[in-house]
Amino acid sequence: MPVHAEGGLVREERVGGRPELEVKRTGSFVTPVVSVVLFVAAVFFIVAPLGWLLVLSFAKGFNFPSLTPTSITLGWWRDVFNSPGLVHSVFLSVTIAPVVLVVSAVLCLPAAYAIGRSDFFGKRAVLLSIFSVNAFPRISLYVSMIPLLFLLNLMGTILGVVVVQLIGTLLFMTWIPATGFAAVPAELVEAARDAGATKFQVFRRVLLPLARPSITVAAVLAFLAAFDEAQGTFLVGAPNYITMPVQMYNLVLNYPVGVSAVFAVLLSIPSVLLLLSVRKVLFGAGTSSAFHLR
Amino acid sequence: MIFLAVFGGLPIIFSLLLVLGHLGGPNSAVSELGQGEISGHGIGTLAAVTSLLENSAFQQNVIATLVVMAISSLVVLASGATLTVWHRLRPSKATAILQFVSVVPLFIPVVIASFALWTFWGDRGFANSLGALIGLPHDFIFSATLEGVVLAEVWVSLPFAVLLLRAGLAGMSDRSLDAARDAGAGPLRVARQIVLPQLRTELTVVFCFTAVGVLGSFTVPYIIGPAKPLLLGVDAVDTFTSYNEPQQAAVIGFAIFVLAAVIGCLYAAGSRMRRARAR
Repeated sequence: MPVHAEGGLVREERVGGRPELEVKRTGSFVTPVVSVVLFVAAVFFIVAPLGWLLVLSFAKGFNFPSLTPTSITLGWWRDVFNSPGLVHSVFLSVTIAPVVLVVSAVLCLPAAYAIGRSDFFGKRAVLLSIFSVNAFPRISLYVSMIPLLFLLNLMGTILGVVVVQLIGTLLFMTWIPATGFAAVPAELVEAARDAGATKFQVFRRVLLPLARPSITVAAVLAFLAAFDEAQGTFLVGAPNYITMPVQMYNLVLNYPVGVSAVFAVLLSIPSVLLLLSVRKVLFGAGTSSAFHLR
Repeated sequence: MIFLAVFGGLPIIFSLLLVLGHLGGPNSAVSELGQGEISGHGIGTLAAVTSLLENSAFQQNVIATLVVMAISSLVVLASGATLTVWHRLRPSKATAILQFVSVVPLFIPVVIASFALWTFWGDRGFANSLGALIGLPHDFIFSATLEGVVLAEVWVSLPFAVLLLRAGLAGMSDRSLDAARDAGAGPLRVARQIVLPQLRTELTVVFCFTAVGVLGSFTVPYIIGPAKPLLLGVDAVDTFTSYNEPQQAAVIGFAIFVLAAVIGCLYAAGSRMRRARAR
């Protein structure tokens, strides 16, 4: 794993290089204590709320301030699986988000290729407009999209939901693959050309494999953006298309905490699986080059 | 590109027309159903804008939004920089785990994150129970407060900051760091004098992205925030869906956009100044 590889390298150098400095430093007692406190605080801050959610989904109730539930129950889970509305929104979410991802890839990857590999008139303008739509606060963009969606008869349709979720994926799907395509060294492309490769072969055999990490990162972020999208989906899709995140609002406001906790745990499963499967890519060199700023 | 123009550009223009009081044309579908609209002729009227600006509740919302935005962005910046620079200078298992953990929120849908943090920091939540169990005198209740919104915005924004700063640090040469270490500089000094100055672009980007993200956020303040003052994102949606005032909602939307644009301009001015100085 790159994280450990680069970590190990630096540490070896330091330990081997100057042991005497390590002893001399007066802060050497304070630093481990501070480190441990920081470490525990950070992990507590980030992970504990999620663990708490898992506890809540099996807890019958609590006697404040006890941290252990009065008794353990599977009732909340049964409630969720017995309500067709909730199951339907699980189904909607896991079907709409992949569709959005595919449409986004079809729309954006050619654009990303063009931005990354060629200089054309108005390239800056294209990039700038993608950025400015993204800088325009999402919520006001959705609200101002509504007249247009009414005009096009997209309000309350599945197509409207796809359009709304697509907006949030555009920046990821153009910007990150574009930097990936741009990072491929020109010599490699020329070498392939000299060896007699056609333009398409160069793309398939050289550019695509080298840009794949950045495309993967972009796809992950785009999928999450679509899967996560609730505000626009609610405005456009309600009441016909209630995806999981939208349903979550409803649950949080109107249902017992246990039901919401179960649903939240369910909704986290695809994301956590995704996180574990792309961990290496996300912490690898691909992400670094994808986020590299010029 | 065409998709972007139709679904990104047109709505912005429509909503600008609505702000200026043009209720017909593309906006008729919305404005016929809406309430309390002010219509304008010619180039339009700013009456809808001024009436909102004079509204004291709106003024409080703007101040609350700006304060939450500033504090969250600074905390994200500081904690993101601490995590990543720490790992760059003194890598260990612990810092690697920390970095992994700090990216986890990226994969948790924002609604879930908000709900989890709301129950965690609520009055019967884990934090408050723990505090009471070990006999701490204070309550640890942050749900339905602006502090809670800051906590949650930080939680949600940290992964992007860590990924971006990591990318910046990966491009930094080991040689300058080693040279400083060999000269006897401690890690804090290396961080302050060598690493952070080189990381300035990334730090600015993180600050601006977080600030704009907080400005336009809806889910976090909607679930965690207090009923008053509201953050502008919640204010815009409430005005649209609960009060059925699309024109006012559009004005609030534009207010958010103007604030975001101000941050964007500050960023652009900053980077131009840096480039001029570098020359």
